[in-house]
Amino acid sequence: MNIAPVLSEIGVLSVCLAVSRYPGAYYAVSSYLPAIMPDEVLARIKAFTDNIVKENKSVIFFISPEIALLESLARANWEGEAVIAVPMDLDEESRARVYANIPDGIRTRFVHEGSYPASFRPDNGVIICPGIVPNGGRHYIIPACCRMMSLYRVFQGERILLSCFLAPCPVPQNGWTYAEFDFFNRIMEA
Amino acid sequence: MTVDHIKRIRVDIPLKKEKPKTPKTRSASVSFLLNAAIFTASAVLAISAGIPMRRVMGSYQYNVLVILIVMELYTNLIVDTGIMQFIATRLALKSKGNMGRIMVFFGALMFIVSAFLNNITAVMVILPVIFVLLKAVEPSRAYTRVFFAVILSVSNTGGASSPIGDFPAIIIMTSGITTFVDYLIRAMPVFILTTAALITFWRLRIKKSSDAVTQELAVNLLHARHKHNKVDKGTLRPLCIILCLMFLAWSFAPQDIMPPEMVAVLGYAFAVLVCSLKGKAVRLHIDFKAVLTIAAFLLLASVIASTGILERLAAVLQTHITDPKMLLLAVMAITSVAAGLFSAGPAASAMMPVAANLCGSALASQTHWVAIAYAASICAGSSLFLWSATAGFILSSKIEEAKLEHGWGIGSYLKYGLVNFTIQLAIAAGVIIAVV
Repeated sequence: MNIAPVLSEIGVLSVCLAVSRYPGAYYAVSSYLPAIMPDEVLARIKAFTDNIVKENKSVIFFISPEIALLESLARANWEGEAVIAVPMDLDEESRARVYANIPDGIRTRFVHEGSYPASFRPDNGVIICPGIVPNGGRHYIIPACCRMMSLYRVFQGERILLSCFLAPCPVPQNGWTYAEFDFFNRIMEA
Repeated sequence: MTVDHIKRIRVDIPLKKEKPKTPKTRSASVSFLLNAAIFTASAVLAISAGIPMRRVMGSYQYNVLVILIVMELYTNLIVDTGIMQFIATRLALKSKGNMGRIMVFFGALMFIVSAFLNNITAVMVILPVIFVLLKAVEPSRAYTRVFFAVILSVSNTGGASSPIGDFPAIIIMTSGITTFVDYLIRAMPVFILTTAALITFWRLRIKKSSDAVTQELAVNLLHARHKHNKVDKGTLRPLCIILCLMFLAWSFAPQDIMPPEMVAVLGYAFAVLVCSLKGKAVRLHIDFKAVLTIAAFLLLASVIASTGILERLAAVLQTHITDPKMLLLAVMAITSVAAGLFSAGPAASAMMPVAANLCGSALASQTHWVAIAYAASICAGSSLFLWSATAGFILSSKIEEAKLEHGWGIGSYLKYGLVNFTIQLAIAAGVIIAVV
């Protein structure tokens, strides 16, 4: 089953959450996702939320629409602003779905791939991107994020890679591409 | 402040204004060419028969066009509340990715939506969710073909089930041979039965998939993509109330005092007022290709009616067939074949004077059932070939665009069309034999 379009529409963590509920279906998506432990995803999302809240930043710049993380931030009453960069290769219908699929309780703003909102600065904001941290070597992110990170790597603030899977893990055959070494200056583990 | 109160979403990238989704295929050009040819042929026919165009336009059914346009605009208002996507996503979730259930649920949804909207709009409203769902569950080629054949036929039966569902039904309602309520109470059960038969027949022929868990995951991922979509209930409620009032007015207001098109226009005016008060943008986009096609067919029908040919045809039929039941069945057979060969629009326009003539003579006591028989035969004919159905080519081009099934067209639809035609005509004939 090709889940690449879903990864860029609802984010890696939301996909993992859905897959973790159907362990029997894991084989069908195994070429796109590393192994997922059913309880691990929720714990990871919770840990990421706590870490992000602790960052004490007023703007979080999401390189992909991580709906599960946004839901969790809304539940945690985080009062900052989430900025979501929309990939330019997303078709019109998918884009409309992304705009309409934002949870209640969180201030959200969408921007074009490659642009920044004026309120986003290195002192008050941080860039977040989901990815895979394999055993040594380069990190892996989805192609849309890779393209965007090559634009956003000039950001002087923190550019954080969320380690979405239990590291170290094997890299799936499809749907991921390696990230350049200067894309991120920090890895956030759960 | 509660969590719910602080939701504020800012979109710095406005969605592009929705453009009319005319398929960029040869079928669009063919359709416009056909319209031009019908307009020209109608004018030439009228002039060569010595019929003044002013007289032709005097009997032109503008009211059909008005109802069609207004109901499509009304549909835009309802679709913009997000209710259709919400219902479709819920149905997908309920189906758990089971192919048989997907066919039953979306077939039923298509029937209900087509009963209120014209077929093209109904197909356009439901297709986006169907495409996302089918891409997610990755059905077999055979299933995709059967599924869309059922959707196309059900859009026809749904359209015929209510007096405002599609062009032939609107023609019947405005012709005066039956009333809104009389048509509705007879047509709805007949077409529900036909739809159930069609869906059941094809469902029994679907092979069960062995990978139920993966299909359930696919549906769950689809749900995740629409999880936070909201239905604008504040706008939807008054729109539904206005629609109910329009139904009441169509059912009980005398047509000579309050004609159906006036009810539609008034209802739409109130609906626009409600949307404006709620601060909603009113989308004024309609598919003018369909309107133009129907306008052309109406002109042709008006010219043909002015020549008196169809009255003569009706007289010939009545002379040769004396039994009213057999006469009606003969008219049904002719009408359904005409609808299959020349599509629903021209057949509905052309055969209406024949049906009206029968109602005034041999079948004067059964006018309401003549209307149902006429609608059912148009509906059956519409399912025969891909070109016969109002939404046929649009559906084909959309499937091609979505890359779901390559070459779903006239050839691949044929065998399903023949079966659907037979089922629909058999049920209609059975009902007519039983009640007339």
